[in-house]
Amino acid sequence: MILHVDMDAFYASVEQRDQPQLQGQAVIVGGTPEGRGVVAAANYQARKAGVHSAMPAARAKRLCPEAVFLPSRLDRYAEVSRQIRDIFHRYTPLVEPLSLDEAFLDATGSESLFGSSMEIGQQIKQQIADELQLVASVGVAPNKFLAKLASDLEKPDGFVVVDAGGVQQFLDPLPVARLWGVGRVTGQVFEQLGVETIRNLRQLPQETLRQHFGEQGQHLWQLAHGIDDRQVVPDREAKSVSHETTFAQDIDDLEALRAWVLELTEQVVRRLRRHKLLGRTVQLKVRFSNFQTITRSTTLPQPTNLTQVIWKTADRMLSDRLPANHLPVRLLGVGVSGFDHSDQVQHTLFVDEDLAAQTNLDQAADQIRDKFGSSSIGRGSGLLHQAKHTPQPNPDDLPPSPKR
Amino acid sequence: MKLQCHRSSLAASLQIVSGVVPTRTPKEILRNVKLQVSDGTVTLLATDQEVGIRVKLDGVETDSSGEVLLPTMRVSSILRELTDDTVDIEVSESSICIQSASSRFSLASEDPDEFPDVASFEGDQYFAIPGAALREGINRTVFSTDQESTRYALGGVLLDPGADRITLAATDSRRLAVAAVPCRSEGIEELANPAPVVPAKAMRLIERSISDEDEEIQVAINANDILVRCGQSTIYSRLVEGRFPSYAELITTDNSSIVTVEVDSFHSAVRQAQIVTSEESRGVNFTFRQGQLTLETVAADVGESKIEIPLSFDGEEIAVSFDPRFIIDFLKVLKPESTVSLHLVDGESAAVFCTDDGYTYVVMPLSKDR
Repeated sequence: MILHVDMDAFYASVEQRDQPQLQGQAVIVGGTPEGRGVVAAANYQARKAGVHSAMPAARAKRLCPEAVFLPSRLDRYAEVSRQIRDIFHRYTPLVEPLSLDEAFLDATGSESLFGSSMEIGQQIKQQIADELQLVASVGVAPNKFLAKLASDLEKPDGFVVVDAGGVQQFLDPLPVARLWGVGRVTGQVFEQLGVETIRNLRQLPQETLRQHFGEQGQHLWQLAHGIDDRQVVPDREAKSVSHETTFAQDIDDLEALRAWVLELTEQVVRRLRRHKLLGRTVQLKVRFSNFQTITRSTTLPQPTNLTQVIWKTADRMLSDRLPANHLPVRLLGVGVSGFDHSDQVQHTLFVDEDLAAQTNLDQAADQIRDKFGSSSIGRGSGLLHQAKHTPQPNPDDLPPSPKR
Repeated sequence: MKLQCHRSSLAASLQIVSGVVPTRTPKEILRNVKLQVSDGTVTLLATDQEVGIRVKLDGVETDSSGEVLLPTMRVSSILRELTDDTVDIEVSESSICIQSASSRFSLASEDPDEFPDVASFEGDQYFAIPGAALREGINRTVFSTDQESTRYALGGVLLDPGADRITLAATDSRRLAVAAVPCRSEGIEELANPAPVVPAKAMRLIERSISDEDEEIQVAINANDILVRCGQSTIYSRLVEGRFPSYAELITTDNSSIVTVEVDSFHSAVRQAQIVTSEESRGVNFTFRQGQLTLETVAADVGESKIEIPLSFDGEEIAVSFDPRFIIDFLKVLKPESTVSLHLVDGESAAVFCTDDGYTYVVMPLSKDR
């Protein structure tokens, strides 16, 4: 069984715990009371007023005028995140963090020591509450996909177990939009097909799915049947870091796509730098409007995590290595792999002033973003087409998992 | 337009020209090679708009004139598969017909007017370089370029013109290769560009186009491009923008100990040591001590190696770690029976390798301080 542990309103809860006078108040992290910036997180009280993350602070202020606005303190959240991770590691070494506030655990091997996966899940939830005064929602299920759905089902303070025999019963009534990869466009196709719930989807012939969604149809079919054989892979073994995004509307303007490549690159390199990883291979993933998906990759002579280098490399692939006259683009992804675990440093003959300057630039930008939020500073090229919303980390990438 | 061509020489020329044809390009038309016939001269042209080539064809009989675009891959394959001595090419409005005694191919063709032009060698100001020397100079430097660098000048070879020789230099910032070739200046009064950097792709193309080592290669350097005539070929290339590092300053042999090694046995020892390296542990530790050089590797999960070769050296012991690929790249372009002098300081400083014929290679070491 796999566990998915997801902290409830993590940033805001940490703030409320650290500052007891905030108890009982609506708390918004990120943005300022003057209405500048973007909401990074909101507690449930603020959410009741309609506030959610990535919302402009000005709008949040209008919806919830009594809310307390706090600057985000990523270092603090990272510290608490490590304490949570320490609790996980009491039960199993197989912990795969997805972000500061959620992780997959595979505790199957520890069941003879600590009890069933369900009991382990309860103990973890209890210890997080006792030792850290924070609330986690936990899902326990036969695989990652189901565990993540389960932890979300009764949030906040949820605890949902899906056992092997109950998978279909659990999935069937859920709306089809709950499936990973079902966004607006896919949703419209489902609407035309009269598919509302996962049950409806499951009853479609595989052939129909393939006709409408190509390769991804097979994947949707598997998810609808609760099939997902990705392993839990501890972070230190991460083989790649990637981000991808599916557009609300297919894009065929090269300049807009280039701006998106920059935006995705920024997400990837920040994660690389946070984990102090240097990668050698840059990958670009493109899905066209007919669901045909291609990937292109370039291997660099030197491993790097510089924004400029990785962006230029991905940008070159976008400009030079897509088929001529291609269809509009539905999904775009940027990834870096081939991490350098070398125990030696190659000295250089001369200081590459450009690389040195880029390193300083990245450091300064990271510090600004840590303090004022990820949209506080950006490169001009990324602003060109309001490439603003935050693409999600590819849940696929940390592990070298089977394709999903 | 009708031509009768000598199959194998057409195939050979097409192969040289196709080195320029981009394999990945958003501009489909560049995947073709242009065949041009005028005044009885037949020329093949290709370009990726950065680098271009025109090659004069021998062994063609024709009375007509005109131009046509040949789809490179298909025409190359056809010429490779056929066994006849000659092939006939007939061009009509929008198709090409290639015919031998028993086979006939008809291929669709794009509009030759859409194909970008490739500059031809004109003017009488150039450097003349012996073919053999230029070929060697290119082989000794081009491998040190860095195609992926954001610093574009590192993606090319610097040509540094002197009174009677041109120095070629290339570096990827971890190693530097410097070789000089003799030259004769023809009609040059003032250099249009005193430090031209030529893309690696163009340098490789020039090297491949030197068919006769005795012939003289003519190199005309302009402010933003370079034209090179070797035998039947003319190569055009845009120069790389950006400043090349001051390479001469990087070659210092102060306070160094000198070790002389024989290329063949040194090369063999490094190749052996490289077997037991991995991505994580790619360094080879070189220990130079009296009478002996020891190469050692330790790679986690792979194993260890130790190779010893005799050495005429009586200085203080020096231990230094290198990426073996950098050493092998250098030794590969040397004659096995020749010798190399290594100028070494310590495990943190650049090592300078020199040959008797004025070829210099500088490599930076690896170190553990991570």
